[in-house]
Amino acid sequence: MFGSPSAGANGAQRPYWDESAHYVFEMDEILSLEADVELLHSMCLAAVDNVVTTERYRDFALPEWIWPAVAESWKRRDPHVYGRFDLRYDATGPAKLLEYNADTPTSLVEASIIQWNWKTDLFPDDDQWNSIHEKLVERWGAVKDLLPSNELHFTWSEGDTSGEDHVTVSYLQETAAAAGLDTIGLAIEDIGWDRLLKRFVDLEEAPMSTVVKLYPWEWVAEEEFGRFAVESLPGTLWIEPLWKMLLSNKALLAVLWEMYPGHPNLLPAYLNEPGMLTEYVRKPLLGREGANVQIVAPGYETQTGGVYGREGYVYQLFDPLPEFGGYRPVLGAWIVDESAAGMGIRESVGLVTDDGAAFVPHRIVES
Amino acid sequence: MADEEQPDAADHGKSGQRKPGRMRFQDASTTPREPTLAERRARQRAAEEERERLEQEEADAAALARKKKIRKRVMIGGGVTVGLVGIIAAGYALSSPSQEVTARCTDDSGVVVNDDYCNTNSSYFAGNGGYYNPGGFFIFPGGRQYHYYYGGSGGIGQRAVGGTTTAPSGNTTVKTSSGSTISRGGFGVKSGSSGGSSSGGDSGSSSHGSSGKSGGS
Repeated sequence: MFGSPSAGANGAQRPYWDESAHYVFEMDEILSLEADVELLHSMCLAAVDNVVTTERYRDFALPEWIWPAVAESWKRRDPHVYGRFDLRYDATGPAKLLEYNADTPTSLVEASIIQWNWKTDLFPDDDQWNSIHEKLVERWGAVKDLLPSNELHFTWSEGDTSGEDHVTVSYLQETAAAAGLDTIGLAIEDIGWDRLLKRFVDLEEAPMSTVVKLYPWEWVAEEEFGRFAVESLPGTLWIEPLWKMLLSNKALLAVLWEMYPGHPNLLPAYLNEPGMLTEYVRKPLLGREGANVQIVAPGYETQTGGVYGREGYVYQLFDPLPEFGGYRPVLGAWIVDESAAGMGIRESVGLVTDDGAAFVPHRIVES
Repeated sequence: MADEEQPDAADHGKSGQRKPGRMRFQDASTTPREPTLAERRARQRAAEEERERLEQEEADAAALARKKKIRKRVMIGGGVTVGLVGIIAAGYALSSPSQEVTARCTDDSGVVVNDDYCNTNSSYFAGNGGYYNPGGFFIFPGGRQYHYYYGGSGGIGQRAVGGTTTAPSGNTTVKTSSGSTISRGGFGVKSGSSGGSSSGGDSGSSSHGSSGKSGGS
């Protein structure tokens, strides 16, 4: 987790930004990963369409009142900006989808800026899978034409005392400003609802036409203003949009496996029960930072603590993360709009990548 | 790579020559802005339309009164000259339209009630289990419900007339007798809120902060 020490091998502390090691890729690998990520994204959009058409919201544990609004948000194609796929990759076979952080992805600044500066300083002749910054600016430029006004409000939660959310949101704000949008930053706690005019207002009491949030929809939905946010759509648009509730939910993994059984970038996954799996990972539908994950496999029995799982679980085939020098990496592949934009790698000691993971840079050498 | 004159840590120098948009921030010291020209104009126009509509109603009422008068004369054989027009006109004059549209809290039969019933910040609202429905209804246990009525006239206990139940759209601002109608703190984990207008139900309504971590994953 940003700003705090990570867990190292042998219980030692490890800096969150750890450039004492880095990963080297060949260009062919990156091109193939890029293609996989874009394919996965298009499969995910097909899955959203499938869920909306067949009204499978119950499998995603969405509250019933929100169903029509999710469908409308998808049918309107409320604009989206970015997301991060977490992939298992060991350089010997295709990348496997572990989950899709489509609603509130973080570690963006590390992937987009910090590791780029690292590469530029230390390996100026090498390349890096990283056009995140450029693609974000480009995407905001396109989103600008889809929005009711040129003004966007960027909100973070003051409940996040690590500053990670605030930093990420401010960086997004900067990329939007670079695209020519007028931006206003404020805490999500400071958003006002004018009950008289039935609209959201900022601290200047000016109406908010588009709000960028780094706050999960499932939390928004159950809070006091949640109904206002949903029912004032599309008067006040939100980025990421409401339909992403169907992507940032691990029920997606089971739906994908149903739609594309045997796909090389997917692991078998089932809702509510392990199905035919004998070695599996049980993940809460709405868990975060590796919490409440249980591994059932001979010799690997593990369970992490946490506050999630009330809404149900998905069971995914256990395919242990590869180990390199005592650490296990997860590739975070960034997608902006419809294109693969870059990669950030997080390493952990254990099999579950949690908030104790460290960020490790990468570079590409010509093959 | 272009753009060597403007080294910028957050810009890889590849994003071309685009005019950047503004970056502003708001916090507890932010104050409401002056209404924009468009808002002033919209409000003025709304008030003018309101006045025109009332004048039209007045004229209609006068025409109706004249007809009634004629009918009455016919019925009782003439000779009665009640200044009905004057009475109606006086009634309107007492509540002549101001430059601002006022919203009144009314019950489901349209009778004006104390604004506390429509004020989610009032102690009455919080103390009596009031519930605000985003469709604009203020509902209390037992099924009593209230809503705002925009423009027109009417004191507490009277039927509100001459206005509408539809909220003005656009940038129009509307006044109520209880002041600000904006609640804050309905999202997130902060218990207090800036400004004096925190919502009655904000503290303790959200409890995700056990890890101190917010949305990211």
